[in-house]
Amino acid sequence: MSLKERIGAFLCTCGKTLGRSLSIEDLKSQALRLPGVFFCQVHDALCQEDGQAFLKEQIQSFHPDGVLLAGCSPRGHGALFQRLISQWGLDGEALEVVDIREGCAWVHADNPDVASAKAQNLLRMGWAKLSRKELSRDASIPLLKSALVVGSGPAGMAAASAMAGQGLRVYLVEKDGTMGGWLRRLSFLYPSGDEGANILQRLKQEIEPSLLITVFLEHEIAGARGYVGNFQVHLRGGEGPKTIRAGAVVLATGAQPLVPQGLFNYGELKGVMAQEELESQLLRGQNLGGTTAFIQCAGSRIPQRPYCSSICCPVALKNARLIRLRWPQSRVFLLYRDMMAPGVDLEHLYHQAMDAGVRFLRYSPEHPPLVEGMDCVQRVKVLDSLSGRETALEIDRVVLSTPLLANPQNAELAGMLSLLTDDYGFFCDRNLLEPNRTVTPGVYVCGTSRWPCSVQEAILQGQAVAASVAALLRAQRAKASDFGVLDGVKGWPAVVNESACSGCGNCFQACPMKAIGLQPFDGRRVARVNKVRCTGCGTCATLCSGGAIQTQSLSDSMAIKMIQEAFK
Amino acid sequence: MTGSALIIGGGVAGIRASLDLAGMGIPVHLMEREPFLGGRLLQLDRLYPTDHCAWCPVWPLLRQVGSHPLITIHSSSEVHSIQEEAGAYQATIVHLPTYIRGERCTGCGECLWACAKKSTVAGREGPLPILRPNSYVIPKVFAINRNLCGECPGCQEECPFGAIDFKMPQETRLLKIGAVILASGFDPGRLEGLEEYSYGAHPDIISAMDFEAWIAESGPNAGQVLRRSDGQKVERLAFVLCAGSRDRRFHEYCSGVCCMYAVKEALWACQRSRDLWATIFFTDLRACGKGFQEYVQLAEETGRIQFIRSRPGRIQPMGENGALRVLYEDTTQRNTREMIVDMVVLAQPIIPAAGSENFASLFGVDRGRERFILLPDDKFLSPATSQSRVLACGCCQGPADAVQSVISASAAALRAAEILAQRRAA
Amino acid sequence: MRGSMEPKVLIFACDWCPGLGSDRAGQDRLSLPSGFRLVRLDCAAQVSGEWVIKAFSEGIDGVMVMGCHLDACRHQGANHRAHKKLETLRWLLDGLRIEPERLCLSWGMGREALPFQAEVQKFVSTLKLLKTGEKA
Repeated sequence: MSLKERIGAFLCTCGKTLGRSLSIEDLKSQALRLPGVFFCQVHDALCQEDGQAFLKEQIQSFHPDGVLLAGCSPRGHGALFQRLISQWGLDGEALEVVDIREGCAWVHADNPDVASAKAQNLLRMGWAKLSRKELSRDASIPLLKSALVVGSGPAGMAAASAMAGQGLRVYLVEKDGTMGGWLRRLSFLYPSGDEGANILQRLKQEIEPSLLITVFLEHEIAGARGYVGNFQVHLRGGEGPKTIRAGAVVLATGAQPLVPQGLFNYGELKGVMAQEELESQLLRGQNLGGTTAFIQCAGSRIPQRPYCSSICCPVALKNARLIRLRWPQSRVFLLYRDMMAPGVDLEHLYHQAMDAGVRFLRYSPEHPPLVEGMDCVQRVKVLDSLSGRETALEIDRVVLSTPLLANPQNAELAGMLSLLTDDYGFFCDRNLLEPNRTVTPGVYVCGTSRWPCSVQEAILQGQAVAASVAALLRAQRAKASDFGVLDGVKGWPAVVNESACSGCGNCFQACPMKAIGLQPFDGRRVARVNKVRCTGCGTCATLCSGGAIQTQSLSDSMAIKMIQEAFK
Repeated sequence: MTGSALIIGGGVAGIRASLDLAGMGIPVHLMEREPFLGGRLLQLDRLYPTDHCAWCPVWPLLRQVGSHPLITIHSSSEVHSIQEEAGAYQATIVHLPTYIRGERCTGCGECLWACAKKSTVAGREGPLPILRPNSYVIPKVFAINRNLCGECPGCQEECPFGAIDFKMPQETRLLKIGAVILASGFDPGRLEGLEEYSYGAHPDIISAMDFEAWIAESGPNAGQVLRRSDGQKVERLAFVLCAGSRDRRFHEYCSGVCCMYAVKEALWACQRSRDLWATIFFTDLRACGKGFQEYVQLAEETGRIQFIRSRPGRIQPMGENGALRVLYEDTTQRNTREMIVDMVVLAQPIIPAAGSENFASLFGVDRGRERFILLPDDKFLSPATSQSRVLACGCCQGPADAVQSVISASAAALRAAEILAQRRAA
Repeated sequence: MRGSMEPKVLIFACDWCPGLGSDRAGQDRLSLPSGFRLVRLDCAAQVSGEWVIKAFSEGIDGVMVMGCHLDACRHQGANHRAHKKLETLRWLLDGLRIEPERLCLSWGMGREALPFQAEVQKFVSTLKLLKTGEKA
């Protein structure tokens, strides 16, 4: 382990204000007493233009191998200083910013002796950390200018065409014989009323003629390797297995509605159908006059499946209204628990359905409607929770709104690409405000494979992903540390000392980012950190009894020395 | 440069769109009328359904925006006028003076302390004219609100960097823009018209946005849930959803986010106070997004949050600083009941931000139903407005939560990039 | 610090929530106990049991680990495990004749100025109540 031997120290007085609360002179003498510190300069405002010029001049004249800078909190100008010193020939990480302002002078303003003593300790701690900081070489990753999209539903098609529009080579993989996914089976879309076939046509028109998009129909994903910038995805199907190399992977594998077997006499009585069967009937132009009852939450918002599938109410509203408008003599009832129509457009759709004469009846989950009949469905008995009365509706058909279930393939894909899925099998977002990203850099999800959403929303998500992928793959290369916690906030991956690693696997099991694997070394297996997945949380390091795996931002030797200096 | 984009609004949608465009190599002008970026999100305490603090997911985005070479931030700025020429826009942006020179301000705060001391001495109450940037906002410089400022040179004398300049002029910039993204966000709607709720008649009938600030850890009571009237702890809390929304008298539409944020606020109030019981009066509990039903279950599991399907008919203050009587029809029991509570939170509607009317007319963009920016149906495949080079994302085009705003912002950025590419080719 | 009656406290604080609290406490010019030193971390999960024991062996009176709310850790919930691990460490402290109260875990409480100050002051008061000099 090499200690830094030429550390340059800078003390900022923040316009001389810090000098009122602590002794800058004492701090300077302290700095010069630290082993390896070979100069210490005081300045009044390092963050300002003249301060930056001063820093530059000092660093370029004296060539320190580390910079210890005491001043305001690192949250203030830490990133700026890091950027600057790396422009001046030093590694951006060979910098330690010590907070003697917010965390010291300002909270001990009434006690200069305390503030001075503490500032000196903080400086010693900063020196301890900096002098022992070792950085492994940041891996440089080539970025292929291509993306592989799995699934050609509206989300996948939108993503593919948008990415091709940004100049990326796109490989679109579809397990069926034609593109379109569920969009092929939808009659009209909400809230616009556009025909599904029309939207499908427009999306296809952006894909089929494109020279940048290759479509693989009747192909599936057999396996995947690699990492951001260079994924190798194995396909099976067609003439034989093939491997596609791509810079990013977009999952748009969709979802399918629950088949309501065993619910509301589905499969027992003729005339009880699921919503998608109604869509087919609408597409075929079948006569839907007579009396129809829609039953919402069929198989959702129940203990075994507590989530709300979001789109079932809007779809039912759209279809109920359609039936009323097309067959004015028809009677349509919509039996619901909560009308999930948030926002402007959907609430408007709800009003439109009411205006069209759809009759709404609210039921409570304790008293679900009873569907009755002999061979064919004849009536639905519902306890209207608003009036408290039980009503028997003579009906010709029952349409069950069932939830979307995650594609069963998702689990397999998650395994191949080390993704996380939620309790229901939908892919997890990386973070709250990173909705289409996953824990694996370079892998994105959009559309209903992420969560039930409308066709319009799926298309929007596909476009959103395209923006992210275009930005990701714009440069020739990226650095592993770019993928840290969040883009732009550097994360330093953990490092393994292979000789000290016993291969016990504790770290591998515990890593919340699934960033550790095991690899052969010297006749045994040792831990290996995936530098783009690791976010430097330190869980692995604290579990390692041999100290073989460490985080770079605060290794054991750095921490122990800091502890020793804290109250010296 | 005709190859630049203008993004109007520095909230989470504007921030996301600017990062996406800059990431794609396109220069961006990000315009924000306040001195700091962050918008409404930074006024919140927590976000549903993860309970992340509101700044935590936004902070890294803000840092990137602040340091990206392709993003120019125009804070304390307004669009003065737009001219169309040769298929592009010439935008005149006005930078309103903040009287503090950004390049000289180090955030030391000496000005603020001087001003605070002077105000105390003078016996003045109310907000100080000096706005302090929180440790995570961008731009990280103080700003002075001239309307509140008496222009004594107190702060100027204290500033060690000579950053305060009362002679700072308004500055005008001319920008050549190829595509525009409207991300101007929302304003909270008014509650004054709802006479049955007596808003304004009692200090403990409070709007949801005010309540969130009131019980925030960084708020005036350090997280305690107290009555505004007499400072006592709130033990019985009521939330009234759809106050002014789904109401033919005011806003017919659903404001989308209120059900979830009411659950969030109820959960947080219960966490902050072990003796608190909350009732949420709702019409339809619209918890349909990813993770939302589980969040509602969390609320139910506290055992101290109950949900009543009802839209209360009346809220009556029981005397000055007294309790509040909520009269409602329990729709499942079909009887009229009353509940006495210490505080009532009204979930006010979301309306398009005040500036959006101005932007709409400046760019000749149609507004739709309910005055939100219209995304015409025939543009099903992109978030474009009635003007082909103007896009809209986030709450300016309809109620949306943070996640939806971010998704629409990225889609708008993509479309803006396509528009600019066509221009460059043309 | 020799002869000072103020307990010596080492605070390990993650740079997200508690780091913010520390900055804000400073911006608000709140007064904090004189005996604490703060170590910034990327995540509270970085804190190793070894470090805690080392701190006590160096004569530090109390160790505080501050992180984000247990459900809000941006490292996919690494603080959950950290919590369990550090709670287990408390048992060990007992065996080393260090009072378990000398280790304080604070999740999500120190994000704002006043709560940060309150957390630190509360811990310092706890330490003052414990008899000094009773460490292995």
